[in-house]
Amino acid sequence: MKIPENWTPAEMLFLKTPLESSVQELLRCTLFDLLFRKILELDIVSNDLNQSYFIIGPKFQNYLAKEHERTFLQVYHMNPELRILFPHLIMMAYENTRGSRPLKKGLRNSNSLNTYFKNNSFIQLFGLNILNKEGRKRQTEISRYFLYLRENMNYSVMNRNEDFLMECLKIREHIFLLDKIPGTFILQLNDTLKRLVKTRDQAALSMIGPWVNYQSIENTFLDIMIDIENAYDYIFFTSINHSSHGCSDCSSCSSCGGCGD
Amino acid sequence: MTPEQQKLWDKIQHFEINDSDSSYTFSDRLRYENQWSIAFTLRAIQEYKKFILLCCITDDSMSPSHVVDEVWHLHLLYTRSYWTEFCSDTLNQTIHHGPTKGIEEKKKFEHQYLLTLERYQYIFEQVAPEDIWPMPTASSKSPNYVKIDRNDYWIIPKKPFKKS
Repeated sequence: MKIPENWTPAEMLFLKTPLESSVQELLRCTLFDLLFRKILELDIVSNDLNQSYFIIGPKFQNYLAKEHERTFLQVYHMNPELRILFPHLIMMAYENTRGSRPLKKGLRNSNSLNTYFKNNSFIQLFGLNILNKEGRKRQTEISRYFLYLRENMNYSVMNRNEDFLMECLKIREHIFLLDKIPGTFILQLNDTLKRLVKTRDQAALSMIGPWVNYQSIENTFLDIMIDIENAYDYIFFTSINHSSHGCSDCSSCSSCGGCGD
Repeated sequence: MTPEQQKLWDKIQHFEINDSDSSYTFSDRLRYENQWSIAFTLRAIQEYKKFILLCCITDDSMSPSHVVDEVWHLHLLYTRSYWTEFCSDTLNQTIHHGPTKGIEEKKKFEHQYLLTLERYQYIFEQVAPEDIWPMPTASSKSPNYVKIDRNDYWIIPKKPFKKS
């Protein structure tokens, strides 16, 4: 299966599972995608990702954001010099989505996906996400393709398969739509990536696209992604929990001006 | 911006106003107390930093907008962060907050505010964002704040669908 160039991982995920895909997952793959394409960058100032900043990347200025990406990017359009802590970025994106329904509506109506969903006044009224015939066909293709990736991934863990590793690099950031990627496989991918960069195999590098933005052999995009992947769920949970429940009911911290130690 | 001003601006931009050890950070508190969105809160802090740069590099007195003033007020509560980490260690100078002495100073503050907007545009080469730095007009009103305990009162906004 060839993934269209202009599809984002969030759009892929939504088409694959329009009902089950959660805000948390959709935001996660959108953030990974923006990082991968260098529209945003992570400025790591300490070992704790909580204390790292998201800033605009070199591709930000000329990038026309899709609606679901604006949850992250809108604020940078107003203040491009902003340095936003990881938890604040997640909280802000979550707040900007205004819930699952508006986020999915934006995805459903995007230029990439609107031809795959039924659309009439009843559906608009109730905000339903129902695939049409073409959409179901696409959904099946995607599901089969990801099943194929999963099976071969498990096989490659035992018997390293260079051709398959290259295929995974070619589908770019969409690889991160597969959850629970085995650590061994990520190491294999990273090895392949580092070897390509080291040998400067231009033909191969041109095929795998944005990975080559990360040409440092010591630190590839996968290294960064593993760290973010590990931190994301915890930060999402604590940030959202804190922003939506933690403070509003509690008067102890908000009413206290501090102490004089 | 001169190279020295740029250097100072870089230092101010990199100054972390949030306490890394706290689960209820400066930004959280500012957002909660003003009922701002997170994006607006982060932008307000950024504009506060710009205002402080203007204070540092200008001989004239500068005047903040109401939004920036709210950020400043709260930062002044965090005395260690404000006086030690920000003023002493980052700015290498003290920036005092001078509250108004009364209605007789209204004209003076209006003049200072317009001067601040001019300096902002000159230094940052962009017009100050209108939602944080509103242009004063004849009909513009000053905020009419009052401290309310939400345990005792309901608050119903006059513009329920407008969110900052």
